[in-house]
Amino acid sequence: MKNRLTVLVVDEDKGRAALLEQALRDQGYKVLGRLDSTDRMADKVDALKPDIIIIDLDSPNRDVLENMALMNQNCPRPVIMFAEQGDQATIEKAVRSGVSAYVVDGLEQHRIKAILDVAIARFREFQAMRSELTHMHGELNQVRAELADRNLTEKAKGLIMKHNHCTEDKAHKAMRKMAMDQQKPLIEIAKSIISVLELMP
Amino acid sequence: MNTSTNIHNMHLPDSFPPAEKRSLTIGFIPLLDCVPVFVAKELGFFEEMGLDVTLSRESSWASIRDKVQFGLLDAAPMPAGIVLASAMKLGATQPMVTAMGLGLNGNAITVSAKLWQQLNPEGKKFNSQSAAEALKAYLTTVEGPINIASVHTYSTHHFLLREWLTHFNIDPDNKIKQHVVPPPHMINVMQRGSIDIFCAGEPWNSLAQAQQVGHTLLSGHQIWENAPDKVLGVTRRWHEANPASHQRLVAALLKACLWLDNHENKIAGFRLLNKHGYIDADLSSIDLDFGRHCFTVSEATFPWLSQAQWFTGHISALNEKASAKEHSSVNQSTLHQAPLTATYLTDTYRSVAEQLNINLPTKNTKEEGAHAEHWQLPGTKHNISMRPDMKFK
Repeated sequence: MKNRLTVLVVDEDKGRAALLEQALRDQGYKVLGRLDSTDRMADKVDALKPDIIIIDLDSPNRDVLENMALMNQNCPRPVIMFAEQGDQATIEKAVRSGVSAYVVDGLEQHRIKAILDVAIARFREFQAMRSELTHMHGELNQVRAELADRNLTEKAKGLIMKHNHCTEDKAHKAMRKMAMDQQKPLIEIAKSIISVLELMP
Repeated sequence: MNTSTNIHNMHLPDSFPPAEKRSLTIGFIPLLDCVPVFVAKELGFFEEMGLDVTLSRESSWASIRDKVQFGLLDAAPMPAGIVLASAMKLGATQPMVTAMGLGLNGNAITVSAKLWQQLNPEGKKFNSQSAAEALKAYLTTVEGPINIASVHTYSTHHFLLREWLTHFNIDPDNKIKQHVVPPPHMINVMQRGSIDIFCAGEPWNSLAQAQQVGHTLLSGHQIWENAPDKVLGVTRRWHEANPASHQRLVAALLKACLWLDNHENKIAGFRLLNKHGYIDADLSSIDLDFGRHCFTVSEATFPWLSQAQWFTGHISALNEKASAKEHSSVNQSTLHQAPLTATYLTDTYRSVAEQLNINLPTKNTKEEGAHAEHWQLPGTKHNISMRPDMKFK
């Protein structure tokens, strides 16, 4: 077995693949390449002959690697095949983190574990980053919605001022009174005012 | 209909043991033949049987298998070959089992529009023999290999393809390169010219034809009429830990299959897939009955040991081929073959079906692929009228 393990990363998420590649290089592995969805994956794996392939558990390309492993004994085999020989815990952790791997025969358990640990850590980090982004996105949307509401209220107020020739303060008070009388939120009142007054000349 | 059971009085007795695990997650790949799980979910059959089921869309059979192995999924419809291979320690270490089949038919072979022109310029109607002859003639005119894809090494499609080619004296590994492509990607990959022929489940054949990317060469039933395909797979460990949950799951799916056992309901069931977003593709332009799916209880859902035998034969043959091809340093060609009855749980099926008053076959095996017409099989209540199951029509 070569001293420096060669790794192929297959991930449709380019950002995550780049993050993982860097982490693997930092640890001294030789990364042969990064692939996303490709029709020719089998040919590329054949040509590159990696010791280990790290692939997104949910990649549709996994059945292609399965076929190579099942039909050619020199091809990397699914890492879950090694679960029985010892490191069930790491492999289970990998599955739960969305990491799958294909490993050539004869690679020692501790070397598989070391590389899986790197992948698991990066996948989890990426997952955390993504949920943070989703969260921020949600907050941004809320601010946008609030801003849109305020614009509508301002617009309704403007229409009242124009139609009733009154001051801003008066228009505002009139809207608040309507909201109280009808027990509706101010934004609803603003919307109905706009729909009615916009039709008027 | 083969059963004396009425769908309205199909429920488990109150004394039936409660589910050990009530909330279950079932994985699926977008295919028409997964319809029993969608129907059981949308028509409330899981709920009736005391289960709270979440459906989880998955992107490969490998992913389904791994998630079932590690308990991220409780169960999933999967090709029978994957379940049987796991018992032989091929592709998996945790043996899986099945207590029911999930229907017959539903597959086809599609060739690219370009190859269709070559094989059939006059647009004749093919049968399995004339299609094979056309392909054989074409193969003599080309240099390089043609590219054929199926959906998984141990899928029914791969076995049907090989059996068809071999039967008509075409070597499946000479001038032919075998590929694996996930079903929802078949059309794109064919369109890009990377594959010339594919064998996959519906709706992907009909959609390829509707989009003029390919043309159906043969339907699956022209290779093996009323062939088995998917089964409900769980791990043996899960089955042993949750026997009542498993039986309740089988009961709900039997009810779904009974409901699907007439044309209108079947088509309505397929439409559910689109309505609820289980399949992204637009199914409005295709003939949903092209695959001739059959869900008859118990004919199409019983875990026939004779069918397990057929799948196992193909798995062993492929494994031998793989072992012979490479001089592996590790000598591991000895298959750990568990008896078929350890994987195909006929007793579990029988115990649930009896509770639901379903007419059962008296035997666990039947003669496969030998009947050109409808035929009779002895049942526990009355004879079962069986569909034809000839190969190579």
